[in-house]
Amino acid sequence: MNGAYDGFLTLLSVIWVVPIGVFIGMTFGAVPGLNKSGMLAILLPVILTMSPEMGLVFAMSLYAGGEVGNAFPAVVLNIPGDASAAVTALEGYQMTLRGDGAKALGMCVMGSTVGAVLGGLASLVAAPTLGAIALRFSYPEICVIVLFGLAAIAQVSAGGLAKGLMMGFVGMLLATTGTDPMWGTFRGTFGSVYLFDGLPIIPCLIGLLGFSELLKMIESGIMTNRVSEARAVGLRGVLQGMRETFRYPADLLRSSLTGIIIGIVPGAGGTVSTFLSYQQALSWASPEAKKMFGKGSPNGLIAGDTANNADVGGSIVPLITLGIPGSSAAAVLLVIMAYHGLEVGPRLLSTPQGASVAYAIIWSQFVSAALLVVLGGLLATFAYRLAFVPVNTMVPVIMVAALIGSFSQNQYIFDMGLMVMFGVIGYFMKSYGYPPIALLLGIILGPMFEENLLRGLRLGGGSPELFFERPLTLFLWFLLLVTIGARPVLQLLRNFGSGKIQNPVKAEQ
Amino acid sequence: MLLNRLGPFIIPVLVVAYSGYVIAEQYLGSYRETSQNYATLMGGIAILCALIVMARIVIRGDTELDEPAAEKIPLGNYIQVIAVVAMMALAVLLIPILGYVITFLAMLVGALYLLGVRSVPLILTISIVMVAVVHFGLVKELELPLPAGILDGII
Repeated sequence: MNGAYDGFLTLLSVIWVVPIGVFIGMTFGAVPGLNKSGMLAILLPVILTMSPEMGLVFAMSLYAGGEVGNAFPAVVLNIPGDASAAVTALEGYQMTLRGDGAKALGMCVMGSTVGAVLGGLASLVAAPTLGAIALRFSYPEICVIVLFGLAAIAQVSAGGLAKGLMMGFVGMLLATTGTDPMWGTFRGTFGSVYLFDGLPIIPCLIGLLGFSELLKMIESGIMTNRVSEARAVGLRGVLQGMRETFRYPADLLRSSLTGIIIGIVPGAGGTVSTFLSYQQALSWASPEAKKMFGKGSPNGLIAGDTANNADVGGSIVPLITLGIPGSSAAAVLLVIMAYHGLEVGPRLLSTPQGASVAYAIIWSQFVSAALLVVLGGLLATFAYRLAFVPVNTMVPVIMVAALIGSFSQNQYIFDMGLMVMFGVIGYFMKSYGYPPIALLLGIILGPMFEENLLRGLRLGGGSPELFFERPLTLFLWFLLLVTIGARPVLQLLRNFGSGKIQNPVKAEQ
Repeated sequence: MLLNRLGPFIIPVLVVAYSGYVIAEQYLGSYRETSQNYATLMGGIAILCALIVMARIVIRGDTELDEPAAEKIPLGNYIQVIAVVAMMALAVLLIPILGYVITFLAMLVGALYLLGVRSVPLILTISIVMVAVVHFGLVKELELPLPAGILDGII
């Protein structure tokens, strides 16, 4: 409990950045096309100048604010701030068309707040428990956990398992760039002295998540305002919507739980949780309520937005206990931790500084949640107008920010070029369904995997037996196999059931 | 059309080429056995996955692709993407010579015009304000050593 108390004190010393983070997050979130991880990647140069605790709390507040901000243009203008607000647009805009726009915004804000509070509670309870288990991890377990993270991301990514695994393993190979940790020889550097210290993570991150997103925005043509008419959204209606949210307690609780669970699964992220939660709300709704889905259903709207924010709390649990991010935005938090030299992985909670920072992040969620109601309620009435700002005036500014951000870590111009290269790679990856987060995770976790694998092998005298001895390791291997095998097996069973694969007995008949 | 056909292969081909390079470097150079084995393991799995991905694309197309919308996107948008990448690459090459002030100013003006902003006052305002923020906020205040180039000693 000491860590939790220290974390609370740490948060108090930097608490003033939370409202700023929530405000900026909501503002950025309301800009269509710019997702949370892209926003965090672009703001990285500013975040890295802060102390570790301040930077991480600020980034966490941006993340929480962004999850609410994306709902504003979705409800009022039918333009989701990012993919996770698609459900919000589906139901919220219909409510706006029938004159309940303000109420819908109030429901989004309150649903998000409830989700954020429950997500925060879940991380507060789950983190120490999981952290205590993680402390028992030795070299073999850490290796399996890294593989588990890659497999989980590959499994839930839209492109499929093979694409995800391919990117994860090539990321681990990219992570071997630089000096060999065992023998000190240089490898994979293409003869460049700038790579002798390894592949710099920050330019890779900004390129893969930020610059590539910019290129996708330009490609899809979201350059000028799609709408010109403003809509009247009154504060009274927003407050009424906030109150009415509590008429749907079952949706609030179920969606929070869904968001938390999906958040814990590495790579699943907000979009998966909102759609799953929406689908569940539809399944559990009464026949009368079911008829409203797609036509402005409060149940559907609350389900999506609550899960979206509960997911934030869930996604930081594997981040602080295992060093595996639950979402792209959490991957940025991981990079910030690594940049400041915090012991990323199962040992984070066992070090005084690590525990203090980790708990400060967890506590900050409650402060953010409180601010979501206040700031969200006020901003809801006019922040949707940010969607009117032509994106083509923002893109060049973000281009400069991306260049400076990639320069800030090592202060090499070479890193700027690396960022552009990874941006182009990320653009092609996103265009053809390859998950950039898998590549990034491979690059981030690769050194940890290699170090633990080689130490484990050395301890076993070169034999891999050590990796299959302890019950905990065997359990983790089992989980890994289930993660990899579940989807193909389920698909096979589904195909079998629907008759795509003919039952041999039936075929003979 | 050609991009639509070959596009899905770009990433797996890059993966095979890069993994092949790393493995070959390990064996051709005088690296230790553990290092060779690790590179072979990681690279081998990556190559295997890339081959599976390519085989699946050849056999049944890229069925897991979420947005096969390549045909709907106007050619002009692709040209803008290429131009922005070229502009960024050029900026990276020019910053050490011209310095960040001139390079960023030129890049901002060029990019704003390229992306359809036609108001000269708006272009100049955004560009000058952004460069001023970088200069006074990041270089002067936070002491980020961006190269001043030919303006070294002047700014």
